[in-house]
Amino acid sequence: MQRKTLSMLVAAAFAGASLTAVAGPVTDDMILNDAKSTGDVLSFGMGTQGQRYSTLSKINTGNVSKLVPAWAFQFGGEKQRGQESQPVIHDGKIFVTASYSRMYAVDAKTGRELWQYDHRLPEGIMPCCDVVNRGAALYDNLVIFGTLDAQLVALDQNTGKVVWKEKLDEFSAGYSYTAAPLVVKGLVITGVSGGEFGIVGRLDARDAKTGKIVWTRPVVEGHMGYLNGKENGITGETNASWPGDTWKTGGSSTWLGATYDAKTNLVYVGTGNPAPWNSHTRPGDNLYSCSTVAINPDTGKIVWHYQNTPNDGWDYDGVNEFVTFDMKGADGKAVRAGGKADRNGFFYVNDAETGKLLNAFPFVDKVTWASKIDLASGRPVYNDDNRPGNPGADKQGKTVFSAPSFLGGKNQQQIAYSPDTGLFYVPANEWGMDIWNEPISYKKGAAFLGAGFNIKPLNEDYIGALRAFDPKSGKKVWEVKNNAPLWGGAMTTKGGLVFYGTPEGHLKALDAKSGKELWAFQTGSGVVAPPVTWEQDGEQYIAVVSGWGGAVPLWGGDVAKRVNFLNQGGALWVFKLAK
Amino acid sequence: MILPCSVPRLLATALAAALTLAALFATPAYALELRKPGVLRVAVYNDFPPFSDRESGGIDVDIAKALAGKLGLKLDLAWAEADEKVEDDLRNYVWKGHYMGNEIADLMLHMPVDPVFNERVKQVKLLAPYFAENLMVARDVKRIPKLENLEPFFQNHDIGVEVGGGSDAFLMALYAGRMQNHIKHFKTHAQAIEALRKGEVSAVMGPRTELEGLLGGDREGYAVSAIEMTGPVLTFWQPGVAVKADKPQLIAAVEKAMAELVASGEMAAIFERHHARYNPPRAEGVPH
Repeated sequence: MQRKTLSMLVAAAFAGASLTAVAGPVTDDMILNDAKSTGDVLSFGMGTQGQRYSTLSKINTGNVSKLVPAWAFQFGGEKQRGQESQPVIHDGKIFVTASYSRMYAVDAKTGRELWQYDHRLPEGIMPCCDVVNRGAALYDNLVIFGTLDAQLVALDQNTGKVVWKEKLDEFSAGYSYTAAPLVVKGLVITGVSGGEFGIVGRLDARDAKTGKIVWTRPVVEGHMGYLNGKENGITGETNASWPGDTWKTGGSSTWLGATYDAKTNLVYVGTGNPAPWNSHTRPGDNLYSCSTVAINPDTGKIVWHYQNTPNDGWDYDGVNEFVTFDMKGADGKAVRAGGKADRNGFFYVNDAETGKLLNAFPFVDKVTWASKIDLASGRPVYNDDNRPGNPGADKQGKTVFSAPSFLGGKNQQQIAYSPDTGLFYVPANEWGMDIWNEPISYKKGAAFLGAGFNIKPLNEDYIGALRAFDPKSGKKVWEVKNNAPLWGGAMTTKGGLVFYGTPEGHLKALDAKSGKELWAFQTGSGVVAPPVTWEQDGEQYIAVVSGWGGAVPLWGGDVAKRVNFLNQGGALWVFKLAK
Repeated sequence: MILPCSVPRLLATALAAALTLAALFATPAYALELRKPGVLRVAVYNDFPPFSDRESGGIDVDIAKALAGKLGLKLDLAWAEADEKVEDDLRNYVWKGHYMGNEIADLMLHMPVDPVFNERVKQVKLLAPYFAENLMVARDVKRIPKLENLEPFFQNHDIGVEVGGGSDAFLMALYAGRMQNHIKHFKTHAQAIEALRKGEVSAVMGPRTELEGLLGGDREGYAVSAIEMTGPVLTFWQPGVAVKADKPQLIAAVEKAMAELVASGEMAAIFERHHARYNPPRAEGVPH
């Protein structure tokens, strides 16, 4: 009873208009209130729903032009490359991860370094897709992050010393970890990343205080889940949508992490593409690849799934974040829904309780693989001509031009949702790819059937576009074009603003209603990370990490011309209003 | 304590100086293209029996030793983690290096000598094919006494493949996928051969030398044979050496030394030592 009273008091305190930082250990209640509390940023997504919306309005459309740097912090070292990290902030400290599995604690007022943790990476480790890290999670006195050698490390927030360390999986089998962990009800929840062949995507939940495994849930049908060391039911139905034993190595990597909504008590995770790449050899839907999967964190069981790209043949990972919000239905009643801007170019709105498809519309101008998503059946209407050819039938396999490219209409860069405007802000990219079977291909020791890709821009003047969409009508309200592909997430605030970064190095502030640019600052290297905001000593601050890299320079094809002049870096920039 | 400057000591010093001078004059032109003087750094795949295994060595490890010996250099092995494609391995180990900061090698073994493929990776020169490799089937002869085609695998026999490899793509696509329920996927050929020995599958499809080498000396009751195949994947290829394209002297020296190893029979002896028949490279190369 006493506990209930206390939590009610805490809830009441959070409801207060201007709440500064709460000191002491980070609790479940604090994490659940993260989206409302303004004095801290306790979770990836600025709240576990991932809306990236702040109720702060001290910086607003009227004064954002006076935003100036408060301080900057350089990661230093010889190591740079992609910096995709979202900082988390608690008790006057900023915790920010950097490339090559590094973490820094910085004094939020002064930018002074408090401690640095350099994870020792083993010899011979070869992560596939740059050396990024997307951020840490906070719980109790711990700051927890995943490393390139697939370890989960919990450090003491005050000292940077290791409290516990757990192996997520074998780095020698190609596993890695780059996403920010999610903390729900005392559990730290992680997916897996890396290793195209032979891996199976899953979600693991560990006791956040000790790192001890509580449950694991594979996201490919046929695989057994576990809870407290005991069998907890097979995912789906074995062989229902995969031929032979292909489900055993079905891919579906969960490399971008998960979101959580306390109202539905569901964890939402996006799943990657199925393996092998040639879709003709695995007829069927290949569940639950390229899907949103909703899991009850108390039971470790799947409650619903929705598949965005059944029998994927284009490498359209479905890993993108499912961001829940309240959408008013025709009857005026609000439905708890979730929005997801998929790699495949469609924006999906699903009922967050049941997974039922409520709306789906393209958020990029050109989508070739499907003409639409049928709302009644929830399935795509494929353009059969646009599926890469079956190499068994035709030795060369025809070249098809597909849009979006496999880097997606949206990739790792996060969307934001404003309850004020009712709009989603989507950092989108307009590009396509030539894709063909490559019969003359080799891998370790043998010839194999490879695929050739070449990514091509669709327009002369831009690839990236920050777009505002009404999720109910599917209407594009505005857009701001960008020459290079956008790779950094968006944030929106009660001040009527949308913040986002560009590879060209700018952090920008736009009017959330019109898209009009109100402010921009050159950070000195490309921004491929999402900004955050918080309040301390009565002032509102904005922070963003700058440091060009990620998948675009590695895979760019013809896109490389638009980005190969960009310089690497590694810095945390913090801004506030000039006095 | 000061050592007396004895005569033998003086002599030794003089001799050493003379030898150094001689070595300098005798230094072949390719030595200047090595990453470190006197050392040949050779990349071989990690965890790749019977060719290269950190613990047990293998065919490629022996070839690397023989090659370094012929060139009068000290061997330094670079253990390569395979990436998705050979293009990636060539970038990571021969011409650029991986962004984790590994040390690249002077050359890499087991790289396909194929002009069409070489066009895609112009940063390296693919040369000196040292054997011919093709897809074959290893089988348990008690279960399948005779194998003329793939018919047994449409009915009651399971066949193992390495996931994502050429045989995987070949068999999965065959006859609109009618064999798919009889194809068993393994992470490595070594695991597939283990399953064959345990009776979990009746056969394994893969590169001939790998199948033979993994079966090893005790091959009673097993046979490795070819079957007729046409499909989307190359079933014949020729592994050789990759050297960075801007090292003409090293390329010439490697080409000569490797040809000598093949001509002298040393190459065949290495294969046989690892229980694989030696199939010499064909002069006409890989047919496309």
